[in-house]
Amino acid sequence: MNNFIRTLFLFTICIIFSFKSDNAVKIKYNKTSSTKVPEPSDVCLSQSGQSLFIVSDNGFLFETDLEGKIMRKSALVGIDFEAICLANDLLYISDESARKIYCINPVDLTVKQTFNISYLAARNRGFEAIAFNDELKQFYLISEKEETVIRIYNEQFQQINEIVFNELSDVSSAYFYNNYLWLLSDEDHLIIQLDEQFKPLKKYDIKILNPEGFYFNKQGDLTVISDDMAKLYQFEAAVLK
Amino acid sequence: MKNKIIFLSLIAFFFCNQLIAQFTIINGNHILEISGNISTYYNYRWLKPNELGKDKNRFALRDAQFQFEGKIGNTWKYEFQADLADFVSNTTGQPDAENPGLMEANVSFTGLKLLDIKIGYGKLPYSFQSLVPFSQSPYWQRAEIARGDFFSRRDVGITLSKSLFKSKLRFDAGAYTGLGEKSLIGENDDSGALEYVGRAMFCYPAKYRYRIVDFNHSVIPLFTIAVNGRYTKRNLPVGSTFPPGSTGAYGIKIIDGEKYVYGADFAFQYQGFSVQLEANQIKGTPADTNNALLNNTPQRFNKGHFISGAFVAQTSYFLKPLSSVFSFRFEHLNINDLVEGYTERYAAAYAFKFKKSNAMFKVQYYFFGKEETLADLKYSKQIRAGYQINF
Repeated sequence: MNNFIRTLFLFTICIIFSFKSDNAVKIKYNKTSSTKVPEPSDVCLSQSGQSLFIVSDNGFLFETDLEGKIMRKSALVGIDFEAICLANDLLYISDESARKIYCINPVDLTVKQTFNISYLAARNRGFEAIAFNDELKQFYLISEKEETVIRIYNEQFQQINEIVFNELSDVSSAYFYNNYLWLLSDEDHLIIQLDEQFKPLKKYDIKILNPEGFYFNKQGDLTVISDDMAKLYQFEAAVLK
Repeated sequence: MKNKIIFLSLIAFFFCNQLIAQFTIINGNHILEISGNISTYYNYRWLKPNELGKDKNRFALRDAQFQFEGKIGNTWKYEFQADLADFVSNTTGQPDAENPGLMEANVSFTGLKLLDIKIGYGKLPYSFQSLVPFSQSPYWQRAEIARGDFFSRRDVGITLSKSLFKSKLRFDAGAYTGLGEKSLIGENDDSGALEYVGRAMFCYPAKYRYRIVDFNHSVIPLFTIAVNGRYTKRNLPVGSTFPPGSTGAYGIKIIDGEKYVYGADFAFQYQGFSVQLEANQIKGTPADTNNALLNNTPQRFNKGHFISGAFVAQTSYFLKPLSSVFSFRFEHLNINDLVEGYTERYAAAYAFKFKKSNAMFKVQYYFFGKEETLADLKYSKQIRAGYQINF
């Protein structure tokens, strides 16, 4: 019994010393809304800024209003949609398990083109995030973890470069905003802004369970979507300053 | 020589912990993932006075598993998992319930809106402690109640599952051969009876995964509460016996008669801190009133049945900056209420999680507070340290 008390004491000491300061800025959301999209895994804003495109783990694509209310659903059925972005007025979706990128016409939600992207890893360790740099006309495809890799592709999905990224425990989403690549980490609950060398410029600590996707609107307001909670969390641009 | 090879392998694993070898093969909408797991440890026991057998002080290869997980569109899934280390060590034909060799071989149909159907061999939907994947645990051994000597952990049969409210509510129910891991011999016992198992799980505010450690440092408190039960009535014809090794270490895993098992579990996690509580009770009514499980007690005393039960409390903390897990477990066990005494066991575990890979170094130490005669152990304390990698 004495041994047990001794180990319990050590355990308590470890917990006390584990609280450390962090250079991430803690930010709080000011508004939430629920969505009926099952297991939402990423979100992007439409070209008009009046609706959202949300993909789900079950391989479905939905268009919703800005509060997450479903307006329509694509006939396309994939396996495991994990990432979506808007590029050149078209939607690009990463089907993580199937290692496919679907190019979708946002008007009728039909498939225009399909790209097969090979990546040797576990089924759910494929490309979890996609972002588009409009200036350089380049796509960023990012694997989740073990290890996280940022691959850069041209518009025909020919690989240009590959960077091993060690700054986060995992990456669950990416977005290109204000000429910077931004990443979201589910396990670290962080949103980070990267410089051109993929080094962190800013870190924001978001207290959201299982964050899987995010976007910025034209005003710079941030919206994060949670898979487990099936909720949208909105942060005012001011908190990111 | 064998020990030397295992020791060298252990050292090699430390230096290649970034080994990632999972593969995914895609053919249209058919996706197949190939993965595996290796774990090995050193075990040391403190023997009781007058005990001489030190055969358990050794290096051991616990797992050498490979796994195929497939998905065909969104309607079919299949899983095949086997452990070569167990196949070699189980040459006696007595599968270890915690490490039975064949671990999963089943097909699921997920194309119905009403429910999912799983057919084949695999884990039964009973007990949180049993359902947690070993690779996610900082311990080298499960709690005694969930090691397969009180109730089976795997069996052949059919499972129906339904999730509701964004997986906050989940129901599983099924019918199985009832011989547990011994079902793999391909035949039932002479009773021809089945075992029925059901589990209902409620999670809040979001779905809860079967995990001991909160590796993700949940930003909001998450909890789950579940109730589960199982029932079988096996009446063997006169002169007939169960297949060798099927009744477990205490002779209660399957009994000639009626057996109810019921239990409840609770789990909580927040900011790296996690707790699991679980209680199980077995009510066995042997068909023969002279059955040894009734311990020669008069019927007015035993009322024709015996009760067996266990309580497990477990708490862990994941210290993220040090990538370390600290965990403690308390077990209270009464193998048979008709035999005097009970067992109390304490365990402490430490695990170091290697970054950028799915690997852990784990140490587990346990000792007994109290011990009942039925447990009949030759040692008082045990330490086990080793390494596991999922690739």
